[in-house]
Order: sequence, then C-alpha cells, then structure tokens
Amino acid sequence: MVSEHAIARVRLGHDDAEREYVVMSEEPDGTLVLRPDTAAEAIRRRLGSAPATVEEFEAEYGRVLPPDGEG
Amino acid sequence: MAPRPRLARAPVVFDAEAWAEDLQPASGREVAVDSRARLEREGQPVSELRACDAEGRDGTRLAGCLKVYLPPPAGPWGFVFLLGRSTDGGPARLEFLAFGLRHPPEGTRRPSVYAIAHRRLHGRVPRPPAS
Repeated sequence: MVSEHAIARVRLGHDDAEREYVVMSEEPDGTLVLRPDTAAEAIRRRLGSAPATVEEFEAEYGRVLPPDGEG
Repeated sequence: MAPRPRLARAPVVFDAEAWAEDLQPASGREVAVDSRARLEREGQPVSELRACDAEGRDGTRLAGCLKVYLPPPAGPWGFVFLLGRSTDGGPARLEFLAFGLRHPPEGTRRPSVYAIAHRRLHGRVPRPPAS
C-alpha cells in the first residue's frame, strides 16, 4: 500500500556546482540515501523558467484538446 | 494591426534530472528517446496536446499541465508537460515534467505518468479518493 508522505530535500555543493537532492531513506547508522531533486520547482529553477498558464499558451498557439478524464 | 498568426508547433525543453529518472525502467526507453528527438527537432504539434485533468479519478491533480500520448495519437505511454517561458522572456513553451505508462499493469508498483507528474508538482504521492 502506498502512503502519502512528505519529501525531505537537501542542497549539496557550492556556488554553481550546488545541486538539490531528495532524501530517499535514512539507514540505521544515519547514512542518507539521496537522489536528484525532480520536483517541478527544481525543474523550473534548472530550466530558468517562469510559469505560464494554459490561457497564455492557447493565445500563442491555439486551443488544445480538453481533458479526457484519464488524468 | 492584424493579430499575430498562431504557431502550429510549440517548443519543448527537457530537464536532465527528471529525464534520467523516468528512463531508468528499461521499457519505453525507445519511445521516449525517439519522441524527445522529434520534439526537440520539430516542436510539439499543438493539435496533439490535451489538457490534464484538474482532479483525476486516481487522485492526481494536474491543473495547468498538458499531455501527449506516445506514440501519437493514442499510444500507451505519455509525456506530461508544465507550461512556462524563459525568465528572459520569449514565447510560451512546454517543459517536460514526466514520462511513463498511462495505465501500468495492475499488481505492479510502477506509477503512472500522472502519478509521477503529481508527485513532482505536489511533493507527495497521490491519494486515491475513498470509494
């Protein structure tokens, strides 16, 4: 069963080499298992991106298909 | 002044970390890699883009995201995109958020592309509504 849980994040490195990680697990001896942070906020930071809305997108490119109830 | 003509294809950008994570499962890799190469070369046809559900039946909440099925038009895989634009300005663009199966086989622990996108947006796995 999958339970809902918060995700802890850490930053390692310095200056331009700093990267963000998610804490996957903590071992009994305190060792942390990390993986790169793939949260939407982290993605936007790495891409140098500001959010846009569907309405803004459609104003530039035209209408997209409506939701189909799948997800 | 005449309105600016709308573009038929939207630019797509990919984040290396999210991309690498989603391609760890072996299956679907070829579809993902081929699709990314096509999108980076030609852009995403807007006619294939569909809005995600604000509240999915599986508990996912993806308001403001767009998706495309792979291979188009109705393949079993999908990309989910954020919408954004460069902080330097410029046109709106699609930003890769997740790749995966639309409907993972029952009994597997593999998340759907929608569950991956939800976790990246909200920091939590989706909670299916009580039945």
